[in-house]
Amino acid sequence: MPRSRASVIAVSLALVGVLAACSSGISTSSQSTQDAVKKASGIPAGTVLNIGDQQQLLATLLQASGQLRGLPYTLNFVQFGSGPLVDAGFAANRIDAGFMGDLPATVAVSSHLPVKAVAVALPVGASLFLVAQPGINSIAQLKGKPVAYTTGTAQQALALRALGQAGLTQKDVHQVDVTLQQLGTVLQSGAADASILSVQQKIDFQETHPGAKVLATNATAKPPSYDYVLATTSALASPARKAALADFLKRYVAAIKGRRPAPTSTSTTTTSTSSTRPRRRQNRSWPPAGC
Amino acid sequence: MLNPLPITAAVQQSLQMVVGLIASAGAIPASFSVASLFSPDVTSYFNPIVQP
Repeated sequence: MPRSRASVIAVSLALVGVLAACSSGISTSSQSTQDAVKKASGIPAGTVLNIGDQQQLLATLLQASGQLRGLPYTLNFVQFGSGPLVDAGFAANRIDAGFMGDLPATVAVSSHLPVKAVAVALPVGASLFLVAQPGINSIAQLKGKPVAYTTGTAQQALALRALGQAGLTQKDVHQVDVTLQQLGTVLQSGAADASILSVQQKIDFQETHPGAKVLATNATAKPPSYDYVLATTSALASPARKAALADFLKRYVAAIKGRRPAPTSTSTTTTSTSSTRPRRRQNRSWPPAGC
Repeated sequence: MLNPLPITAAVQQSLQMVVGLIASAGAIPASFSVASLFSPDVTSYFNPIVQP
C-alpha cells in the first residue's frame, strides 16, 4: 500500500535525525572565481539547492560527466534508498527537488506533498526485470505464488503492470515486501518465486540460475514508466532556487546526453552529499534500481 | 540510460493510468487525480530545458 501522509511524515522525522548525522562535503572553489560565475549566471550569491538522489546515481552521473564544474550555487546531494524515502525527504523539508519513479510520484500526490513535476525521463531499454525461478515460464504461473517487490516504488508499478498483462492483480499473488536491495536476495534464497530486479541483481541471479526467465521488463510493460523530477512549491516560488534548479536540469540533460562542459582553468564546484543510510554495494546502472 | 522529455498531456495521462492500475489492483482504496502535480507555469518554464 502507498504510504499515507502520516506514515510519510513519520518516516521523515526519523530521517531528519539520520540526515543531521551523516553530512559531508567538498569545496574546491576560489571565492573570487565563484563570485564571478554567480554574477554571470544571475543566481544570487549564497543560493543553495538540495537535490534528493538515490544511491548516489545522480551525483555520480554529474561528477563523471564533468557537469558539476562551475556551479554558480551550492549544490547538496541528499541520498535516499528509494523513491518513497525521497517523498519523506520532501515531507521533512530536507530537499528542494528529487528524482523518483512514477509510483512514488503518485504517492507524493496522495500524501499532499507540496511538490510539482518539473521534468520527466523515459528509460531507454530495460532497467527493471520481472525474473522468475527456473521452471516458471509465464506470468500466469505466478498466481498464488510469492512475488517480491517493494511497496510504493517503481518496482511495484512494474509488478502490477506485468501481472495485469496476464489478467492477474496484486491479490492473486503473495507479495514479499522487502527493501530494494533485498529483492535479489529473496529470489536467491527461494523465499520468492519471482522478483523485480535491477540490472545487476538480474545478472547475479542468472549467473547462478541459468534457466531463470525474464517474464517482463519496464521497457515493454504498458503504460510507459516515466521517471519524475519533482520540486517543492517553496523552491519554485524562490527566483534564486528556481533558476538554480533550471541550471541543474540543464547540466543533468547534458550529462545524460554525454555532452561535456567547456574546459575551465579553475574548478568552481561546490557540492556536498549526505546519506540516509549506511553505504552498501552500489548498483551503477541507470536509472536507479528502485526509484 | 534515461531520455529526458518535456511534460505533455500524454505524460500526465500515463501517470493517471498508473493510479488507475494500482487502484484496480487493490493496492490503494480508490483512484485519485494526479492533476495537482502538474502546473502550466512550471511546465512552460522547464519544458524548453528538456526539449529533444
